[in-house]
Amino acid sequence: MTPVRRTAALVAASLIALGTVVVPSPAPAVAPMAAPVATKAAAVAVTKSKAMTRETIAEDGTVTQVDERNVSLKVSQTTNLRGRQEIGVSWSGAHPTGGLVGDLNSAAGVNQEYPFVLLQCRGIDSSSVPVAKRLRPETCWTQTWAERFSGTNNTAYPAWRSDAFATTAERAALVNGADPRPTLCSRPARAERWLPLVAASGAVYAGGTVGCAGMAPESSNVGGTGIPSNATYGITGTDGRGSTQFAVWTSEENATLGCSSSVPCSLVAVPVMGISCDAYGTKLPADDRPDAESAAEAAGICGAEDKFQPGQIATSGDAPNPATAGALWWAGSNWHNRIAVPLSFAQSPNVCSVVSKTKPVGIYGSVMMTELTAQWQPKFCTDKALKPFIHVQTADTSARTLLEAGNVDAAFSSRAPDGGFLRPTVQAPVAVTGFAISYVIDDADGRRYTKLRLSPRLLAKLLTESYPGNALIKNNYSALEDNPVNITKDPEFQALNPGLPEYVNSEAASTLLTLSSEADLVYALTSYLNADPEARAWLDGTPDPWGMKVNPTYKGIDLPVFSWPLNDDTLAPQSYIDSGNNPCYTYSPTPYLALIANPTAFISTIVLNMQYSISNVNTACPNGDPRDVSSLRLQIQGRQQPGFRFVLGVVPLSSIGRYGLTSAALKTGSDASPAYVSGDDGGLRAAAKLFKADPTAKTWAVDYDALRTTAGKSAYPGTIPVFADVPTTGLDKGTAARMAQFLRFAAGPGQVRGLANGQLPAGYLPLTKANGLAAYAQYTTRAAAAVAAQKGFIPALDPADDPRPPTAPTTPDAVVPPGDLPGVPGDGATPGGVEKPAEAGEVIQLLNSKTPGEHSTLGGYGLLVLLVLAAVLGVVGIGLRFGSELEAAAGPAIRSSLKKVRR
Amino acid sequence: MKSPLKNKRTTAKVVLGLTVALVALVGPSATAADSANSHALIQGSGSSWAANAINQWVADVANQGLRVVFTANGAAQGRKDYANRSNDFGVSDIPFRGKDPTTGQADTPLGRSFAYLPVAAGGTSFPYHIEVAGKLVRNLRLSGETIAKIFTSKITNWNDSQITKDNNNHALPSIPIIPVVHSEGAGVTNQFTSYLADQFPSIWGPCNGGITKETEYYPLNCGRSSGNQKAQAGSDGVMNFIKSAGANGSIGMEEYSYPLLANFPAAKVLNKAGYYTLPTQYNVAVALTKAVINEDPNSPTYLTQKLDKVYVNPDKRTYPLSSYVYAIIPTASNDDRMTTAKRQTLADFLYYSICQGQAEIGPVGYSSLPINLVTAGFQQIGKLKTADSGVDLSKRDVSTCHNPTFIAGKPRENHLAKIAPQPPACDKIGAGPCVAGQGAYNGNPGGSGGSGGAGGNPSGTPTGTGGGPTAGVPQSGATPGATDGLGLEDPAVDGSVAAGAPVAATLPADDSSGPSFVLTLLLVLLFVLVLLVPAGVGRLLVRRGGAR
Repeated sequence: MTPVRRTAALVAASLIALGTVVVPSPAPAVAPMAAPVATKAAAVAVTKSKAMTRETIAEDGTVTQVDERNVSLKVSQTTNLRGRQEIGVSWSGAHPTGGLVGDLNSAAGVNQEYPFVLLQCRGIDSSSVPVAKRLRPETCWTQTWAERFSGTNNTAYPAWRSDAFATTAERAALVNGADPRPTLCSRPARAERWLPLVAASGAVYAGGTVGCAGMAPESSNVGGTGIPSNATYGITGTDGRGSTQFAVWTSEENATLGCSSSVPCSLVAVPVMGISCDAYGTKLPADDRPDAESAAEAAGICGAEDKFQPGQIATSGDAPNPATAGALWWAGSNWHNRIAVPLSFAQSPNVCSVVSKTKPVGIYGSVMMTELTAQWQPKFCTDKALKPFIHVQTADTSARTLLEAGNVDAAFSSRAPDGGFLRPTVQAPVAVTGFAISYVIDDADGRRYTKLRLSPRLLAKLLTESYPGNALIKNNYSALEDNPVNITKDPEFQALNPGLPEYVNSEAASTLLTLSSEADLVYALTSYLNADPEARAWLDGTPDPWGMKVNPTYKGIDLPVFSWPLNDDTLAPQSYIDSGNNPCYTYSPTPYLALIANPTAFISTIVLNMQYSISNVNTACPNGDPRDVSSLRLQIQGRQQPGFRFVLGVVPLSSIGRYGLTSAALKTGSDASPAYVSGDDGGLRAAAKLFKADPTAKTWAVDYDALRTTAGKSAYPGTIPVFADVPTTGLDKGTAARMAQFLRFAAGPGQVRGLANGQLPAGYLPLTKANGLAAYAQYTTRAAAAVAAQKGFIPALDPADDPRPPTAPTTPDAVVPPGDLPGVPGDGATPGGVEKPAEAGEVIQLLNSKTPGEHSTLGGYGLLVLLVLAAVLGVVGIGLRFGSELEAAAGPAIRSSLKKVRR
Repeated sequence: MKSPLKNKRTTAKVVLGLTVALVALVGPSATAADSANSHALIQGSGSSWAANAINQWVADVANQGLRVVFTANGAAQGRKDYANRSNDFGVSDIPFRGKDPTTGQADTPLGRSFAYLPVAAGGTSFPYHIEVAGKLVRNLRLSGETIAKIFTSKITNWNDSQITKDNNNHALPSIPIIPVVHSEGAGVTNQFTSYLADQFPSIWGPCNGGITKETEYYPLNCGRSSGNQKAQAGSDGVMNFIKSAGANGSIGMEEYSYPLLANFPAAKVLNKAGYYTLPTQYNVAVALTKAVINEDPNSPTYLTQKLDKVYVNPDKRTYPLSSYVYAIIPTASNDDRMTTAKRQTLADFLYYSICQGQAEIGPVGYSSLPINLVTAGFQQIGKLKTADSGVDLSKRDVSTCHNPTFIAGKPRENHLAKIAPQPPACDKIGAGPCVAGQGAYNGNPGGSGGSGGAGGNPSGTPTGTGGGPTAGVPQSGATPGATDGLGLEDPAVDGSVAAGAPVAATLPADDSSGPSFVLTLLLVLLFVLVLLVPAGVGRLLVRRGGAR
């Protein structure tokens, strides 16, 4: 580059730089990091705009502008970020994308024309920082080698060699090739451009074909298992707009990229405009210019026509116009149009030591506590005053059974067992949280819909397998033939969510992904359906106003339930089975609608599916070969094509904030005047006000009927309390002390909202006076005392109702002599029996001690009274029936006595 | 009866106290010094049999800064992913075998270095769905032979006399059996077919195309194009099918944690000693004391299991289909997916898994590794350091390992197996059947369950009053007459409640629910009054009338 040209380039660059306008909105880009009381992870959106052009330079140096755009980028949150967190990215003014592919996070994305490329890069884009801390293509993460290598034998002049914005060195035939060239790598192609990856550690991964010269350990040749890449080849609609979610990574997820609170990184948007062609090399030194023939070839390649119309979907085998494809995101023409937004990460909290001499106490149960315990645990293991605990996720029902049987020391659950705990057990409120209906739905413009509203009846329709899901079932299953094929065709859904695209054949849009293991979360969801008159009537057989009927196998279903049953056992029609179109299904035909519902045992699967819009519908049979039994496994449909996504799933409310998911507003209030409320703090607060104290069970419960009152109109119906269930007798001293400590923490310090260790994450309403939940925290504090004392005492909800101070035992007979215990071996001489009595005795004695709920006078003596009464009546009845005959038959003595009885 | 027991308890308590003190003295004194190494995200895939345990560990270690992603796509796929270098560790019930002995599917690591490391023990259970009078039967018992015949379609109805015999002549109604198998290559299929091949070759062979070998791909309907069997994808698929309303009569195979999570019953399986048992953490631990582990560190299948002696373990606390599941880890120093940070994460994750991780999974349906396997596991983890001297393994050893199977001072003994409760008498062949919940005790050792005190190790130690495995089981009289068909029995009148299990999950009658003897008497009187007396009197009168 001659000095003159260099100056010109510099001027051009600064002009472009001037075009960059930074508009932080609505408040300063740096969120005020308030101390512990920061109410919410202050999500402050950042907006930036930039003018950009594509031009062509003719042989004589004349510059012709072929395209001009003014691109604006908005990022929903840029500070206080945590690993795997999703941030919303939207843009406008970009060139529409063509040749759309299904998976925007895969290497296939590079084959789109004019994609809006989003990358996470280490460093910041400023000339005021040292060069080492600036971002460049080498510090940007891509998952596969194909995203940072371009090689061809078809021509010596691929488009990137004509790049007007590339340096002379970058326009050579072989750029950045590994030196020495590893033997694994094939002979150099006619033109090769390598883009090495520079790790945070300074290590350089050269890449190359199939990563022959070394790839970062987090890389993958093919995509592979685990979490998808965050490099995104976003789609811009024909209106120039687009949006996506972007998962940011810390060094914990990706050490090579290495972003952290101390290593700054940026989100870099590269709106691909296409290569600004300088095919004749007017910007190159004379010696480096292609000859006339080559220049003509280069001009043809660089200025080629696009292969796709904007919005057109790519079919397999279609190659894009290489000059406008995403594969060249790193080329100067594209890269200099970048818009970089600095990201700052939350301080990585202290973590627990891998090696610990203290064994944690185990608390089993609720999946709704996962995010909370994840943030509390490090506090408990790093603070010397606290003792560690561990939260083992399991079915709430199973946790209660385990607790009752003395198999575990504590549980998290959301309701009292029917009839109460037999073992004196306090249920101390530790959280007010709930369930959410999460979704990924694209609107008619292919952008993510964020205003979903759902009613209990719609949820009931999804759960009861009442949408046939596809034409095959709809046309062959008479009970469902008049129902809409999926929810997008349902007028009730359309009325609530106008303007969404209708799908003819979307099985994913006919179901709601839920848990197959038992959970109080499902119990709450089904209680909500059950209490709604409209939903209940529909379940009982009343068609909705548009004529949709419940699947007959669910008609009149008893709710609530802990796990949703799969009732429909209809197979796909025999013709479908015989056709062999789906060899996996033909191999083993099973109820088809159950395959659509396909509930899963792990809540984490649902969260992951909602984060990445993965359809869990289990009807796919990729590469199924009837001759190869190992290929005949039905598989889930997997990631959906952006622009056409529709998945719905039940998740814990806390995962919404943690992973940046979207969640539906749910119907509350009366049928006559319904309201749709989201699971934010306001919705939770209003719902918690409606919780009903149950002085007998000594818990609080959701009052679903109250949702239909005026107060219920602002209440989020998915709200659920979570209790720590801890026995108040039978725990050993150490465990009792630790559980008491846990409860005291849960009642106070643990209820401060924030992202630091020991604070309360989003999705949990602090149990504070401000939220009207002071009584809950107080109860938990009193429960802590009862747990510490281990005298079998359970505090009353209202302190005034406590018969005596919590230290006094209320069940003095709790210790039963072991000899009275059933289930204990008589002589204990077996190997198992030898040491068992110590434990078994203890357990049994717990089982025999009584909780207040057991003492029912009616239950205890009612039957006795009834039986006595019945016996007397029996005698009298016999007397009445056979009296006269007996009189006649028996002797005079009996006759006289019978007379007496009759009188 | 009262006082001796009380004395025994006191003794036990004293011993227990002493042990705790002892453990506290000699116990771990590790400082919380962590490695200076950073961690990096690792990805694993494979066995859905082990997934409930592994997912829990993945959640647990997040607070140690370890990021682990596990995909439960089946053992066969997990090994394939490992060979294709698309994961950092695999999880599989079986080693690479060159090829599947039955289907001939290729099964090699494609040159990637590997070492096996047992991470969990558990039982292959048989969850089932049988409704009688609208109620779920929850106390089914089956012998291995019956199971073999069910899954080879030799027994096709629940009223089969062999099933009736298994249940001590309590017959089930006529309901066709729907055996449910995995459609993907599954470790659980391999475990089950290994058992069939070893124990019932004459039943299994004809079904498996004459090959009396194990396989990961179940021959649906014994290779016939149609039949009563169903193939379902993955553990979710199998459990969803069994639970569904239309699946009355179905029975599948799945790791015990799956039916526990779904609150669905699993069949008790007959062991060599003549008892029908469940795969509780105790019964699995006892069974696996007979597992033959390849202890030749130079063998490519070092630490892998031979289970033929497990199937026939004579201890009456045995669950016959018990097995281990393995992690497959890369040991080469030049493995291109590995870095120091990833090896450190893998090492720390595995350390957690085989130590503390073992303590929490008992109640949810797994069993713990005994010390010899934990020790060997440490050696295998050591290979990560051999590959990369930057890996820090200090303090990660048996002394800091909170594993319930061993207690200080007795390293070679499986504590869990030692303290395992005897099966109740009603689980014996020819007795019972027990009511649902009996013989299902699955709590953690030590105190009221869960963690022990300061020492952290399971408290309690054998007091050594001797007695062979057959001695001293209270042979309380089972009262077969008290149950009228499976699943319809009334626990309150079943005399077999007071059996050997330390905890009967079914509770004895609550003393405050009224004087039960009086109630029973009254009930009998009432029946006599209402049913017998009128008829008797009537008859008497008629006779008299006739005589007159």
